[in-house]
Amino acid sequence: MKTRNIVLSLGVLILFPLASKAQQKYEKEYRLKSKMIPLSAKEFINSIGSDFKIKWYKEISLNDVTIEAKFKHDKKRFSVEFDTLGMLLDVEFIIKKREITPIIYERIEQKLDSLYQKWKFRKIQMNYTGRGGDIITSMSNNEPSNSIKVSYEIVLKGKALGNTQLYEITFSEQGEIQGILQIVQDKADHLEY
Amino acid sequence: MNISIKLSLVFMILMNSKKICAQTQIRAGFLPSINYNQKIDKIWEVNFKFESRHFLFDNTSEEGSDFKYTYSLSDVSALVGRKVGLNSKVVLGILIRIEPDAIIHRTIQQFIFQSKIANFRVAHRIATDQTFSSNESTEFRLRYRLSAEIPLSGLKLDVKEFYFKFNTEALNSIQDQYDLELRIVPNIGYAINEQHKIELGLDNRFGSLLSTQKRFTSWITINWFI
Repeated sequence: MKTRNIVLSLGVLILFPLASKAQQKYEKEYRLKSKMIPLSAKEFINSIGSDFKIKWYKEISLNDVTIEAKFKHDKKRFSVEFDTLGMLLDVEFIIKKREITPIIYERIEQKLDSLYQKWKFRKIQMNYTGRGGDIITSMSNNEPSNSIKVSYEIVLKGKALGNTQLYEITFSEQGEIQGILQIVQDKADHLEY
Repeated sequence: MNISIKLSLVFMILMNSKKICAQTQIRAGFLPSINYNQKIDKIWEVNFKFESRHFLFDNTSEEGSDFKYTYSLSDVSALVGRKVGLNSKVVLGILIRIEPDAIIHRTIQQFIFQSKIANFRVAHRIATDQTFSSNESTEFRLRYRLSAEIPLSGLKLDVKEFYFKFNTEALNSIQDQYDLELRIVPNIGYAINEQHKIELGLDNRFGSLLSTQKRFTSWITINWFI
């Protein structure tokens, strides 16, 4: 038991730099009116055929500026990202953990156990990248086609060396870590004091 | 409904509201505050607040007009907060109330936690405080405040954006006898930069709710968060 604890501690120490040196995530967004959206982006969203209201946002991050459409469809919350010219970048939608293939979910769990002493999911999003037509087909079949790239974007509360933070971790379709971002929480003193 | 019946009803309501107003102590004024918050490290933070009360209206005034400027008091508080979870903290501190003819001390204990509902942030504050003064018995209060921030552009509040903030609080107090007060405080705020926020609001306090002599105080608030 003692040896196991030492091995676990060493594991945490070795992997901790990965968790603690996570880059920070900054984002700023504005609501956009539908008339300001490039036609190609609107056409793609119309082809999904959601009955719900589409909300458009301009999102500014450290690296780029994108346009995002947020809406509900098939009881799921979607977020579709375009570049400023209306070219499709990716489609994300919130899923439940049971919707991840069990073997991949197990692999993700193992990676998280090695990174954090304690962790808890806040949000799991499935991400589709590829040609618009293939993505639409995958969405209507409720299963990704072979021609599109799938990844998982997971927001979780993780505790590493006694410090609890919010992280956004991207996993590949096979459950390999592709990136870790530490989510910077906004000041809330005007709500608390 | 006949127009004369409608008019009679309006007249009766007006007459009754005048009666209610006559029974209620109504006061109004300005309540500016400066709120300085400083992180010491990842766990600890301190908060200093200065707030002063200025009355412009008092219907219980014994002088001729109800409209009159009167300086009431100033509050200075110092709090120390310790993070106990990702979105929760325990806060302890003191407040000194400086009145023209008295100094009052208050000790404060708070537990604050944050959550998110749809696109707006919500903070819950459960607090107790004890107020000590030389000429009155000690007052003990138990209070719960819910604060919600609704960004007015985009999904979250960013710099150079306006927001709506709504506070509502219930205060139970015991000082010789039990009393209940409700506060409803809508605010419009602006995030000047990462460090500074300014808010303009209306702090409505419905006091002595269990007594026959009710109190209503409405403050125009200007809060500067640093």
